[in-house]
Amino acid sequence: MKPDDVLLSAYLDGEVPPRFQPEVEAAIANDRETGARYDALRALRHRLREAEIPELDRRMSESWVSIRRRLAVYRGSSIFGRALRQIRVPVPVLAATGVVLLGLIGVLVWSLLPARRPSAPDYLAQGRDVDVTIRVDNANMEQVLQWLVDQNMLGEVNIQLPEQQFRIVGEPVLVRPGDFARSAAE
Amino acid sequence: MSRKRSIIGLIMLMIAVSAGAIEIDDIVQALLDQALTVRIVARVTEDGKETVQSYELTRVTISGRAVRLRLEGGNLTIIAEFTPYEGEDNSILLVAEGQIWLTTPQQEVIQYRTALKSLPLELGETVLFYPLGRSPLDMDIEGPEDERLNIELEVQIEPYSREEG
Repeated sequence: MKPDDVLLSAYLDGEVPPRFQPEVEAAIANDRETGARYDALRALRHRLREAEIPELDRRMSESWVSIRRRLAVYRGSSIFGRALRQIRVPVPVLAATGVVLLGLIGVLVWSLLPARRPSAPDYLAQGRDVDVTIRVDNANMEQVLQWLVDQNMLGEVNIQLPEQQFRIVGEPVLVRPGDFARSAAE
Repeated sequence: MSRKRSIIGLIMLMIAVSAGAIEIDDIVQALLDQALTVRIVARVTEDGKETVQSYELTRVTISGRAVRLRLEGGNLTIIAEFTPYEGEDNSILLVAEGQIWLTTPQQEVIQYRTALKSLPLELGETVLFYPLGRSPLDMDIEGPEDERLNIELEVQIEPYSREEG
């Protein structure tokens, strides 16, 4: 048997089953070329160990500790918790969703608050210097019109004068009765 | 999708209801609170003293809304409008507008006159409006009897009370 480099490397790593180790060892010991390759491999491994990153072992150890800790937490959490932890939502989307939700809640709260209605004087006072337009639908308009009719607020008043001749006697006058009597006396 | 539409519709409905206009009862109540009663006595006088005919009428209005009268007969047509403007101290500024169409006895000429007069009043105070004019002298004017007629409009404005309605 003449072991190749793979088998020699496995032997060097202690991976060769015990049942085959005597044959490998015999080849290394008896075959010069095999012994040389084994020595070369062992020298290479030695150099690799010297060239290892300083503190690599310590850092690897820390990494493994961290991984084991996370695994422990993961195993101890619920299925729901694991599912939530797996949801990945971009921050802008999360912020936009929050703003929309706040807006909807605000609208709902505002709409549920009792509406403020101005008192009648305040209502008319707001439109004191402007025309007041009251908007009502058809059903309510009938009610308003009926009220106006009941109060004789609509329409022109017609008065039939006697069929006689009138004449203009002066300028139109608008006076208090007392003022007119005084001016007449003067 | 239909659930989303339902929710949006509900929200829109709530907004519409809460932002709704003043209800009809409030409108009527507002009108009643600000209403004014205008009492008018229209008299046809002779020689400025005797009343030949008299018409009494009452109208309810609000500040800034005119009460309009149309007097027609013989050779005369008068359109008179009385508009009360309520002040903050319960005073009234009454604006009287008169449009007069009058034909001469021979129907040759149509005289048209328009006048706009105003007078500050207290509520309940009475004023007189003579659209054809009035002079103390016209009581002694000589002439045909049917040419000595005049029109006198007595106007009184008071706050509206429910008992009147």
